[in-house]
Order: sequence, then structure tokens, then C-alpha cells
Amino acid sequence: MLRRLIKPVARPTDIYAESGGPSAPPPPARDTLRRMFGYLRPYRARFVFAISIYMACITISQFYPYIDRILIDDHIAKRNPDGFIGMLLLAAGAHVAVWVGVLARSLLMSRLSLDILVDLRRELFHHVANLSFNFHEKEPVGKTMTRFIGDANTLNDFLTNQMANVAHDIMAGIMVIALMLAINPALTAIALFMLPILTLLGIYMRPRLHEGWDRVRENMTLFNIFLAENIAGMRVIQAFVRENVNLEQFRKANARVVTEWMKVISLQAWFSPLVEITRATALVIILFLAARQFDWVGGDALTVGTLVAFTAYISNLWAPISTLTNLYVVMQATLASAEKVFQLLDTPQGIKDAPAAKQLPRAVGEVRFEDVSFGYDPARPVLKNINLSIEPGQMVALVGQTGSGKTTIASLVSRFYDIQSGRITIDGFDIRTVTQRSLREQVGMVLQEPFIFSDTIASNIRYGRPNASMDEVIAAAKLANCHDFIDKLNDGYHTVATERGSMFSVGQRQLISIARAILADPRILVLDEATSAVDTETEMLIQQAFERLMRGRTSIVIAHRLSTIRKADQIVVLKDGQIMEAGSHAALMQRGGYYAQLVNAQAAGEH
Amino acid sequence: MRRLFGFLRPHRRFFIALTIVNVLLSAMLTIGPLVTKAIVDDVIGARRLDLLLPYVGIFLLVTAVRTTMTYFYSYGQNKLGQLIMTDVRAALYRKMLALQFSFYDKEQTGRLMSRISSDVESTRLFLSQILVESFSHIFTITLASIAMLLQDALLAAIAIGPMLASGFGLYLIHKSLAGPWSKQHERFAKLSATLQDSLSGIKVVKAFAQEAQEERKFDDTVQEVKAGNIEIQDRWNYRWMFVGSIGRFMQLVLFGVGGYRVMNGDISIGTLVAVISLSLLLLGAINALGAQLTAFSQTATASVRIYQLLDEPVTIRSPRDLPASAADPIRGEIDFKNVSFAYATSKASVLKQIDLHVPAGSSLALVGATGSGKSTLINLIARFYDPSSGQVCVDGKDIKTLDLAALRHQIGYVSQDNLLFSSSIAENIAFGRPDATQEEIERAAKLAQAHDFILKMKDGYKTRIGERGVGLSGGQRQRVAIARAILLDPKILILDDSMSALDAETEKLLQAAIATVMAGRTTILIAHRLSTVERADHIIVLKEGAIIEQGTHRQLIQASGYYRQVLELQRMATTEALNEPLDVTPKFLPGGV
Repeated sequence: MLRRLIKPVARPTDIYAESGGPSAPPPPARDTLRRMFGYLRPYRARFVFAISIYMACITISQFYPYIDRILIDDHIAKRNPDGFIGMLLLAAGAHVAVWVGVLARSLLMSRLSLDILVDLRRELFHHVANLSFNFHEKEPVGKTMTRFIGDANTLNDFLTNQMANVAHDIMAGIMVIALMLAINPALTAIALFMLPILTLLGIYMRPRLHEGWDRVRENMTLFNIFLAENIAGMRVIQAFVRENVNLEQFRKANARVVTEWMKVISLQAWFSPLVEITRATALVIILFLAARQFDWVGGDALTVGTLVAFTAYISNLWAPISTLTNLYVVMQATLASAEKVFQLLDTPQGIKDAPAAKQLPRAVGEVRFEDVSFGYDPARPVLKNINLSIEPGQMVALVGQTGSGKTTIASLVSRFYDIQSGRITIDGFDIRTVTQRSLREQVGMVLQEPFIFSDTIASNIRYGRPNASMDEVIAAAKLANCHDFIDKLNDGYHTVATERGSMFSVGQRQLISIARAILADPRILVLDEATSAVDTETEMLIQQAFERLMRGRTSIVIAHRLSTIRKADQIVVLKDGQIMEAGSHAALMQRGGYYAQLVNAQAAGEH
Repeated sequence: MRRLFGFLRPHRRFFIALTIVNVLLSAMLTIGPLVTKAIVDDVIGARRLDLLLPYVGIFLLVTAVRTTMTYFYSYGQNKLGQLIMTDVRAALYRKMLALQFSFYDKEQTGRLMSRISSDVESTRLFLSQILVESFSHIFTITLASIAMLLQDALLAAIAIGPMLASGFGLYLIHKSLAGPWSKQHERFAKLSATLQDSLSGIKVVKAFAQEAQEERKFDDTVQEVKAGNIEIQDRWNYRWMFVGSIGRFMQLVLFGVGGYRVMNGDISIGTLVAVISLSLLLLGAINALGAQLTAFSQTATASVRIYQLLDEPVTIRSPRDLPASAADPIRGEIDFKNVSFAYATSKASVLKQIDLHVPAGSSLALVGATGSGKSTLINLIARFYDPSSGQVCVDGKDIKTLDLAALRHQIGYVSQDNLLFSSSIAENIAFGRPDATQEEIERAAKLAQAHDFILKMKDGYKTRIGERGVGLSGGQRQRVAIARAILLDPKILILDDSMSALDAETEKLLQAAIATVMAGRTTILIAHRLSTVERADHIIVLKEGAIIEQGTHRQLIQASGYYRQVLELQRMATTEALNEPLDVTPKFLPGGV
């Protein structure tokens, strides 16, 4: 049951895989990498500087065991105090230099890394904010947010931290081997026998561990989805007395996480013991050979200093191998993130201003649709040959069933989509020849589900005109009948709205969004009348506010209420993307066509 | 904190075993340098090659034991962590299953989720990792200190100061970062919220041509996060520069002082080597302990939150000594006796002295504006809430004396939000009776007028809902929710706002079906359509928590009271919808919302 309940969510990574549309094959990894490194380019001087400092620090710090060996063998073992203090001071000096260097590198690198992250997030936001409705209607907000947060972080982490780590490990590896060779080439050659073992260990273990942890994460995600749904649906669970069944499901989901977790652990727990044993074996072999005083190991090779230095160096060899064998895995994950980020950045910006786009002058408000055809998918037209002429100041009601194309007509006026054929003009200007900004500043919209930003009420009202004064805000709120309830709030207009304005009723949100439209003072209005239930009193307030808003403006209303429709100068009846008939209420009723039928059927159905 | 350890109790043997492993591990870690010392002094210094083999044997043995213990330790520590986490999670989840509706009225899903995920995670980390490791560090510190003192008291005394300074310094760094970190979390949350706000409201953004403004807002939060990050990293970097370099300086001081002592013949070179590696071992343990100390206070706050939830009183539960009859099948007669109710969150009564009698098998329609108390009233019948005063009785028995599960099993409840779960449609319909057969499921679906559209879907009854956009329309969800309630074959059927999203035709079909289903059941419905209200055996009109009118449709019309007034007002004026089905009730009483 549980398996079936949660299985198809499957790998959390492909939850949204299908919504990506016709996706091109992923670009070659080399191109993706090159593009990634492009983000480093503006900072390359700082990057090179930071890495150079880091390299210097690594070089010096790898000398520590070498210095220790000199201290032990040349001074302590030989009881030779000459230059002992000097050597100690040199060692201390080297350490001070390393720490200052490490500090400098950390300061540089953290800033560099954050700068890149800021660049990336800004670029993403700029791009996403300018993407057309086509994109935003298709993509879930959560998915887009992942690009900004998780994926951007992964990409940035690779460019800065991982790159620095790789530099560190290569440098450290070279230094360790070089210094070991300087101490004793023969013993070094023998110590290095563990390199292939450790490498194999890394190559074998790393991908398996990575996969294992991926599975743990997947199961965690499923568990969390299960849990979130259960908590949200707790009332239904209790109403249907499902407590025991769900508790069992819970146990199973949890058990899967635990099982996967322990599977990885039983592999991972071997990791450090195996490394330890390899190291110990290498050390023991060296000890034996050195003790035998073979000529080829340099005769009297077995000194305390050499033992101490080799012990340290053999340990230091592991870190580079560990990271380098992990690099492949990290790179796969990074490439995956980078591809997703770039795919988003490459999404074409559907609607762009024409190269020679002009400002739309302050409109009188004449709107014309000339033979307009449009489909979200060009193969399936939603609107067919629409001809419509709206005089300045007129109110037009769009009427028709769900799917008839009302909402589509409304969104075309603001040019949220580009039509496939025909022309839409405002005061004679084709809307494709003016800037989107100047167009939308003059076409106001009140959406059916008003959106309230998590900001102060005042900022919400002055959304379309951020520089409006407080008096103007209040005047607009009064016209929109929302001043009274705003005034009663603790902080009045400075009250910060909760997420999506959940502190307000639907009706109140509607009123605030009307105030917003009034303040923006557009010449042309597009209203999507709400269908949701509001009590009669609020309903009347909304109607009144709408009327005030429409006064003196051209308005296009997607109407649901007969009372609204009756007031329209022109009623446009749509069916299947075509205009069936148009005219005033009286004219249409007299005509006895589709509209009259609709009205009559509606009335009959209710009595 | 003490209660936190309570989670350890069931696994105390495991914990003790793990502690023993830890002691052994510390012992092996301490012996290591001593073996090295023997090799240095006896084999290398005194050239006793005959000792090489036995010493190396000991060295390998110590390594073998140590690595084995490392394995057991990391396996065992993870196992213990998972065991504890399972216990805590299950305890929390069981608690959540038992908690009453009033609890969920005031808690957000997100907050409860973080109880069961991040708070439990920090408890797990604390009990299985931090606690066990702290013990391990303490053993290591003890053993290594003793070993060091025995090797050379003077060198041990020299090393102790810097080591303590280092451990304490690290503790201070972590402590000083706790504040900035939590501020940084807030900043980051703000960044996410801003982003989400802009993306969710993108239509408004575009309609008002405010892309640039949103970009500025986002940019501000991005810059704030950056500044916060730099502050934290700088703080860490500058301080770590001092603390992190203590180790090497200490090592060099030991080399210096120890070196002169070796040259003077006070100690052997092996002793010096052993002391230095012991001091590094010790330093590591002290630093780790210092870094972990801050976790104690963080875990304490997490566990307080966990216990707050576990201590939440369960107010609605079956009485203790249930008579066998408490789970008997019911007939379905419902009585409200002087029932008043107020939600815990506000003082105002939502229901005021309601008296109501619903004979078994009859139907009752509730009418009233939003906030008049309709939903509250029906929520009392399945005992989702207990009344503040008065009694709710089923078959003449106070429902508080009945077996809760048995009572709810006999009540079919179709809630306002029609919440479905992300599983197949069949599983959703069989939600209250997971053992139902396919025939039973289909019969329920047919009655609820859902069968036809289900068959039209890609995988029929196996179609999964709620994910990857395989969504149902509002009307379809409602019908599945109705089928879910019908399948229970309940004696009492409660329909809360259940037909608002249906088109006229489906609604007619469904009403006919429901009329069939209603036969032999007590039905309480919050009516949304005139036609449904008309058909009920009895109608009550609620206003501000009180019954202001009741009777049959005919009686109420004739009474020329509120019901009729509102009805006429409605017909006359506002909401004759053309494109959407007429939705009467929520609008027709003034003064709602």
C-alpha cells in the first residue's frame, strides 16, 4: 500500500522532469563547464591571487614534517643545540606566514564566492522576471526557486570551494611526494605502493556511497511528502478513523529511510578502518626495511626523524586521493545543477519589445481587435478571427462558458501573449510596436484571484505607482471601499500583509486590488469578475468600487453576474473562440439568440 | 534535558556497549604513541632489532583493534541514532494522530513538519553522536593526560595551557556565531519569501509593469544575505586564525623544551615523540569537545519543542472504561441539548444554546452566512470538537460516552475542502475502508456520479492524483470525496458545502443519487442550492450561532421571515450568475465574513 502510495513520486529529481517541455538533448559537458567558468571570468585576477596565496601556504605547510625531522635528527638526536633555536624560530615564522596566508585566502575566497552567487542570482531573477506568461503558467514556483537556491549554490560551490580543494590536493600531493623523495627515495617508492590501493578504494567506494546517500535522500523526501500530506490531511484521517492504517504506513516509510541509511553506513563504516590499515601496513614495511639497513634503502636510513616525517606524510597522502576520487561524483552533481540553471537562462523571452518600440502616448482608450487568431499552442487556436472594436470609455462585457476564450482575449490586450495573426491596436497603435512597459502602465488589470504581496498595505496599493503619496493611497482606498477596514488594523496602512494576504477575506483582497488599480490610473481596464462567494454586503461594496474604477475608462470585463452584464455598453458572447453575437442586453434578448437562450436557461434552472 | 535522556532508556544496553567500544577506542588511541616510543627508543635508539618484530606485532595489533572499534563505533552510533529517531518520530506522529481538531486550528503544517524533521534530527545528532562522542573525548582526554603526565610531567604541564585555551577559544567562537547564524537563517528565509512572493504574484508584477521594482526588492535581500555571510565568515576566519594555529605552536614549544631535555639526558627521544603525538591527540579531543559544547544548548531548545508537542493534552478521546455497548451500531438519531461552543482562539461563542432534534433517517439542512456556525455545528456530531457546554447525543447517548472510533466509523463526512491524498483514485475512495473490494469502490463511485469521469482517465481507478499535475477539477474532487463517504455505508451522512463546484447537470444527477443514498440515513447538509434546501425534511437558519428560524421550506416561506426575505433579495438583485452555477447560501445573509 505504502509502496504504491509513494512510489511514483520516485526520484525527487524528476518530479518536475516532465514539465520541461520539449527538451533538447543536454549540451556536452565541456560546453557546460566552459560556461560555468565564465562566471569566474570577471573575478579571475582575484581568483588567481587567492589560489596563488593558497598554493604558497600549502607548499610551506607541507615542509612541517620535514622541519620536524631536521629538529629531531640533526639537533635532538645528535644533542646538537647549535642552530636549534634558529630552526624552531624558522618553523614558527613559517607557521605565522601560513596562517596569515590562509586568513587572506579565506577572506578573498569568501567574498569572491559570494560575488559570483550574487551575479548568478541576479541574472536568474532578471531573466525569470522578464519571461512571458507561457513560462510562468507552466513552471511550478517551487521548481524555479530551486534554481535560485540549491542549484545556484551547487554551481557556485564547485567554482570556488571545489576548485580550491582540487588545487590544494594536487599541490599537497606533489609536495608530499617531493619531500618524501628528498628524505629517502627508496622508502618513498615503497610507501607509494599504497597509492593504487587507496585510489582503488576511493574509486570503488565513492560512487557507491554517493548513490547510497542519494537513495537515503530520496526516501527522506518521500517520507517528508507523506508526513506533510498527513499533517495537512489530519482532519480527514481522523474523520475516517484511519489512524492505525496511517501509523502503519508511517512506520514503513520511516523503516525504508532507516534501512537505506544503515545500508550506506555498513559500507561507509569500513572506509576509515581500511584506510587506517593501509597506512599502518605501509609504515610497518618501511620500518622493517629501514631496520634491515639494506644498502638500497640508504644504509642507516632508520632515524627517528624519518619515522616521524614519514608517518606524517603517509597520512597527508590520503586527503588528496580521497578528494580527487570524489571529484568525479561532485562534478556529475554540479553539471546536473548547471545544466538546469542554464536551461532556465536559455528559455527564450517569448515577448520582447520591438527594436524600434516607441512609448505608447497617453491613450484615449480605443481598442481594436482586427482578425485576431491565437492559440497557446499554435496548432490549437483558442481564438479564431476575432474582430472587436471598443470605443474610448466604453464598457464591454465578455460572456461565455469556461474555455470559450474570454480570459484569453483579456490577456491579449496587455500583450501577455503574442497573437499568431491579425492585429490588436490601442488608439491605432499596434501593441507590438510600443514598449511593453508603456503599454502595461496604461492597461490596468484586476485579477479574479487578487494577489497581495507580503508587504505593507500601502505598498500593495501603490504597487503600480511606487512614488504615490500617502494621501493618494488613502484616496484610492476610500474610492475602493477598503479604507474602513484598513484603518481598523493595528498598524493601519503600514500593516504587513501575511503570505498572499491570507489575513484578509477574499472580498477584502478584491477591494485592495481595486484600490491598486485605481491608483495606477490606467486608461484601459481589464477586469476579471470574481466568482467566489462573498457575502451580500461586501458584494455591494465591490460592485460600487468597480463602478468607480471604470468611470471614464475603457473597460473590458469578464463578467459572471447578470447585473454586471446588463450595465455593459456592449456584450460580446463567445463560444469556442469565436464571437457568436454582440450588442446590448436589450438588443441581444430581443434577438433571441444564444445569449437569450443562456439567460433563459439559467433563469429556468434556478426556479 | 533529563527527559531527553528518556529516549535513550529503551536502548541503554546499546548505549553502554557503544560506550565500552568508545573506551577501548580511546585506550588504543593512547597506546599508539607509547608503542611508537618503544620502537623509537629500543629499536631505533638502542638498535635492538630483535625487538622489532614483537613491537611491530603490538603496533599492528593495536591498529587492528582500533580500526575494528572504529568500525563498530561508527556503525553502532548510526544504528543508535536511527533507533532513537524512529522512536521519537513515532511518538510525535502518534501524538499528532491523537490530537484534536482544535490543535490543528492553531498549528501550521510547516511548523509541525519541522518538529518531526529538524527537531528530531537535532535530538538524534545529540543523543547518538554528540553525547557519545563527548564521552569518547572525555575518555581520550583522561587517558591521554595520564599517559602524558607519566611520560614527562613538565612537558605535560607546558602543553596543558595552550590546549585549554584552544578548546575554550573554539567554544567561544561557536557561541559567538550562534546569534549571527540564526539572523542569517532569517535573512535567507526572507530571500526565499521574497522570491516566492514575486514568482507567485508574477501576473500582478507584469500587469503593473513592475519587473524592475521586484528586481530591486530581490536584489536587496540577495545583498543582505551576502553581507550576513561575509560577517559570519569574517568572524570565523579572524578568530579561527588564532585558535587554529595554537596546535602547531604548542608542538614547536614542546620540541624546544623537550629537545633541550633530551639533550640534557632528562628524557629519551622516544618520550618526546610520544608526548608530542599525545598532545596532538589531546588537543584534537579538547577542540572537538569545545566545539560540541554549544550543541548542548541548541539541542535543549529543540527538545523543549518536541516535549511541548508530546505534552499537548489530548482532550478528545474515548472514555476509559467503555461498556461493551459503546461500540454498538447506531440508528442515527441526533440531539443537541443546550449546546454552546467557542473556539479556543477566541472568546466569542460560535454556537449559542442550540437545541436540536434530528430523528433517525431524516434530513436536515443548515442555512446561514459564513461565520454563522454551520460548519461548527456539524463538526460537533463526529466529535471533532467537544461543546463548551451542553450535550451532543446520538441515539440518546452523550457521544462523550461512546467509543470514538466506532462513532466516526458510522459517520460519513464530506468536508468543505475535499482534501484528497496523493495515491490512486481507488485508494482515495477506499480511504475509510482500505479493505473494500473493487466492486464496492465502483458502486460508491457510481452513486457519487464519479464513475464515468474516472473511467475516462488514463489509468481509470488506478490513476494517481495530486502529483505531476494529474489534477482533478473542483467538481471531480467533490465527487470523489462523496464516494469516499458513501463507501463507509454510514448511518449518518454529513455534507459540508459539498456541491458548490458542480455544474448544473452533474448536480442534478448527484442530487438524485444522494436522495437514494440518504434513504435510511440521517443526513445533515450545509445547503448551497435552493433545490437541495427545499428537499430537506427540516431546515434551520443560523445567525451568529443561534437558530433564528426553522421548519420546512414551505413553512419558512410562509413565515415571511428572514429566510424568505433573503431569498427574495437574492433572486432580485445580485447573483444571478450566467456563466457559473448559482451559489446561493454564502451570499444571501448580510453581515457575514
